[in-house]
Amino acid sequence: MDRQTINRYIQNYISEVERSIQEPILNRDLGKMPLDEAKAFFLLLPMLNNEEWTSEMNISAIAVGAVHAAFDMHDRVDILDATSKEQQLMVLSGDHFSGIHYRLLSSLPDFQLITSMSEMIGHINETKTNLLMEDNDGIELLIDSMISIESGCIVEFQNRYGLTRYSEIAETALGLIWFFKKLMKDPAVEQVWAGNRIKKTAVEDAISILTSRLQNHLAEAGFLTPFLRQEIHRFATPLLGKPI
Amino acid sequence: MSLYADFRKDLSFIEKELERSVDSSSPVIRQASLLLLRAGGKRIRPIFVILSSKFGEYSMENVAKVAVSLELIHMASLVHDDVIDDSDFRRGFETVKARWNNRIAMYTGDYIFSRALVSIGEIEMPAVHQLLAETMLEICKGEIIQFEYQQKTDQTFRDYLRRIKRKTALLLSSSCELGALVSHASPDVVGKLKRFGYFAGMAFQIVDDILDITSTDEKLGKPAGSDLLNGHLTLPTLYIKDDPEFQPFLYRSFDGSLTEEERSRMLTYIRESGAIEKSQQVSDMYLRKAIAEVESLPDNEAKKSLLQIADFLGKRKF
Repeated sequence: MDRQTINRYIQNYISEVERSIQEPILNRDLGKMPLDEAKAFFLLLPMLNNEEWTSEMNISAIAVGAVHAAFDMHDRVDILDATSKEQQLMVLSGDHFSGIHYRLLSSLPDFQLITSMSEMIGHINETKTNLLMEDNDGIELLIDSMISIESGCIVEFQNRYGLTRYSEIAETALGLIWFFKKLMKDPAVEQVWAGNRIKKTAVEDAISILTSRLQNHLAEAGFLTPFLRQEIHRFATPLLGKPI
Repeated sequence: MSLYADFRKDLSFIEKELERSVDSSSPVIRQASLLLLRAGGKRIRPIFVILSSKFGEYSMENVAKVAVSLELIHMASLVHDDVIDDSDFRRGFETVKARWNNRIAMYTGDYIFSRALVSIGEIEMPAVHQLLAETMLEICKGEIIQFEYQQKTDQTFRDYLRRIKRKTALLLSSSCELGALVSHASPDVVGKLKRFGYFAGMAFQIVDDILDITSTDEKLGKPAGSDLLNGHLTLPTLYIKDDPEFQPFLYRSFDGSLTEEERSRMLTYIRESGAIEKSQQVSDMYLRKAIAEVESLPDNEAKKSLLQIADFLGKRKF
């Protein structure tokens, strides 16, 4: 497995998600939905590490991608003014993607995953609401919240298919990526969390905690090939050591 | 409502289950969800599920899971619709987006939607999930299409009927079908109930569109004529959209320049144009079809209730 192959798998997966969620009017008016490559990588990690990957798992993985697309769309709805046509279509677009996720899981049908994924989606929305409405003083709570938002659905997927040994890595890495983006004032992150009260020092502390946690997890992850461990590090810490 | 007297116990159980389903750990979501539940509504979807289930092996447990799920899906869609329509009030109550903000409305709607799937997830019947998933996608597609038609005056009656099918009739039709499916009713009965729900849903939405013109701001909990103000042509206004005296009202409603006094004159104009009576005739036609489906069902108490409800839907004033 080399980097080119990994990228091909990620792009194939993203194309499959795009095909599943596409809707002509939304495509015309909103354009292509950008899908998160890092989330795709951590979702596909077991497959990249030669774990068994059935067609059923592939459909479930696409359903997870549809949920992520729905989250991203609804996160882009402006807090105060959603009166433009684009904003209104974002609301409908997110609803459409949610419906696609349910249709995919129903087609299997996987009742257990329908329930557990829905529980997680509910929890993620509760967490986002709490983050938007409340002070976020405790660093551990902040880290737990972001980990849940960023990786909750991937972890549910891994739980369902007995791939839990990948969960801590996905949680830590995706949480870390989010805090890096926050620190670098990534426009997408800033737009979603505009007006939140997350302090810069808390973000820096979180990066420090999660970097160390990730290093520990990777050191213990003997089941991963050395190359995949390097790739995980590359995805999770792209900005490490760069001037801020 | 005395109409619900025969199944008050079932409804009250479902009401408790609805509250339990949205008992969120987030104080804001819990408050928002309870406000939505307590704002009421006709609970027509749960009622259709209950009554349809009575044509098979009735299990309150399964019925509640389906009924709760359908009502939550309906509620979630209303929360998101209020963001799309920028509505501050619904049924006289402040909307989630007005009380908190758009994003909280998005998360509350998504949370409620997830709870709907948790509820129905416990029913291990593939057909139930496939039907509900398709219904939800069709409803969403209907909203996207409605958006395409917003402020467009070159619409046909067929366009309107297709829109209201997706907007309202499908969920009511699916409520009946799902109720019948979970109680293992015969395919013939499932089909009849599905068609009943569809025809009753069409009538229900047409009456809703009539009431938007004929009722008062107070009773509606929003300004009468809101459909037009939001850029939507409904059946009464489709009848007179080409009337030269009505057109200035129409265009001023669409571009947001209609004054309060003009709104009042516009409503009077529509009420006196004959469009309401013509729309009522279309609604009555759907109701007759709904009643015909029920009449061919096996005799039981639920059949009587469905006939009473169909009658109420056609004559309701709220």
